[in-house]
Amino acid sequence: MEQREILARCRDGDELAWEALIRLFQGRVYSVCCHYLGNREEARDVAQDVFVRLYQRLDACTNDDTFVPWLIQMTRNACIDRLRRIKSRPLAVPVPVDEMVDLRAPGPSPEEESRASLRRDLVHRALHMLSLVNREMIVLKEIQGLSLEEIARLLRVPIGTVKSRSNRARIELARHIRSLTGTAEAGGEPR
Amino acid sequence: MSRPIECQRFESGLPAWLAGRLSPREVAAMAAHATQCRWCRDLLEFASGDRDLLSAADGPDLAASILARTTGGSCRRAEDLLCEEVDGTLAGEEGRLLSAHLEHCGDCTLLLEPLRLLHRALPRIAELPPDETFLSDVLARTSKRPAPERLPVLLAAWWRRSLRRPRFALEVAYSAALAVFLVAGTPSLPIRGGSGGASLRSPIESVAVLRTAPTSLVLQTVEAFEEFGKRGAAGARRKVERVVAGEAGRSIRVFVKRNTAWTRTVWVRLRTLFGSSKIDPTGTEPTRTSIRIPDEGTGAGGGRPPQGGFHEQHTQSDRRYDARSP
Repeated sequence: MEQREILARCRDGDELAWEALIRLFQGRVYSVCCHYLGNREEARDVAQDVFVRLYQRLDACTNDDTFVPWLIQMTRNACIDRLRRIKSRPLAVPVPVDEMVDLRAPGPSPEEESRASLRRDLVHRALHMLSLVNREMIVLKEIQGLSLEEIARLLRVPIGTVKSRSNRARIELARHIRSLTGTAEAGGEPR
Repeated sequence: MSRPIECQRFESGLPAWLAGRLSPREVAAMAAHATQCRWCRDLLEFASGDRDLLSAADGPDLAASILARTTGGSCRRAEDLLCEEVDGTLAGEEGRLLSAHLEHCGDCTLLLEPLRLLHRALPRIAELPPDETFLSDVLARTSKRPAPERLPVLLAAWWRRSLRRPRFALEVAYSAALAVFLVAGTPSLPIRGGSGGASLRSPIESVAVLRTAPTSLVLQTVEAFEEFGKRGAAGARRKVERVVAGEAGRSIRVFVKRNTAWTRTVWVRLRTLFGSSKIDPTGTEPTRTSIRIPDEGTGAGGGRPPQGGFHEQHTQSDRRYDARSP
């Protein structure tokens, strides 16, 4: 079923369509939360809140074509709010970035899964060495694949700024990857 | 980029030095500068043919030193192009420029592989599956769509939010002062026109139309009533909610807002136009009244206002008016 059809049915109160919508987008929402917050429990909590808010405000998104950027914006705002709250209330148990290594993603074969796991480990570690601004650019553009225009609208900055920030963030992330793997191993990463 | 004045003098005097046209004193000064300035020393060596301009050993150093004294390095620009190269959006000419840069810049070359790795790896983590209970938890929290929030709830939430704003008290005081000034300074407002402390809280009064008048007169009365509403002051016009003219034998409804002063004004108008009318203070607070229009011919006097047949009760303001009437 198409996303548009699912959304229309959700607006009509179809519970099955709502479940399908959650299944369709839970991975993306949870991924965005994880990358913003760097903590699985907080990410899970915020992702739930995002879906509850989505359920209450589904009618607010009138254009189905912009649903994904709208959802990601809502997720991003929720994450920023949670980060502010965390700043004022430090976590009871600080969770190291290492736990992000355990995040699973579908892999076609054990060998591929093993290589992908190593790669994810490396990328997650490098991602959390970035500043929040740079990490946000990576999450929105490189991971979630939003266009420059969508990110510019979301962050309310000019497109040129988005482009330069994105390039800077990628270069910084590449430098962290290089520093994590060592200069000699930079070319031998698992692909 | 501007160069030191000594270097500029050195450059301008170099051809003359090499041609042997300088005095010994000038030659000594230029030689002394060349020993202190590496740039000018290199220039002297190149100009005198002591060094090959394109030698492999000196080329990168020279390029680096020139860049250091001009644009300040090109790695920043190369990094932008590296991202485009990885994305596959780099145009041909810029691609060649980047390749030329990468041949000599080890730092940028080392960035290329991590960038390619990221280009492949990042889109694959766009979705991360949460645990199995996530879906059921969300469904449990959204089992029923909540009813839209009601106005009082929204107002209460707004009030709570407003109380937390830093200058809320100042804004409230300002708004209140402005409201008082507007109300007190606007003569057309009913609150200023009422006698004996008439205010917006005065009891609602209904306007009764001629009970025994012929239909035509009733309709004229109604039209006059409406016309008054259109021509009157803005405050009075707003008070007229609806006036419905009816036919003979049927009821007409006249809706009147609460305000003693305004009702008295209407009363005066009606009386001026038709010589008689009536205010019917019921004591309760009706917001509308239905008046049955008698059949034509049953009323008194062919279009003339009848002398009786009205309600007999008067409000205080009506009595005052009647006392002034001839």
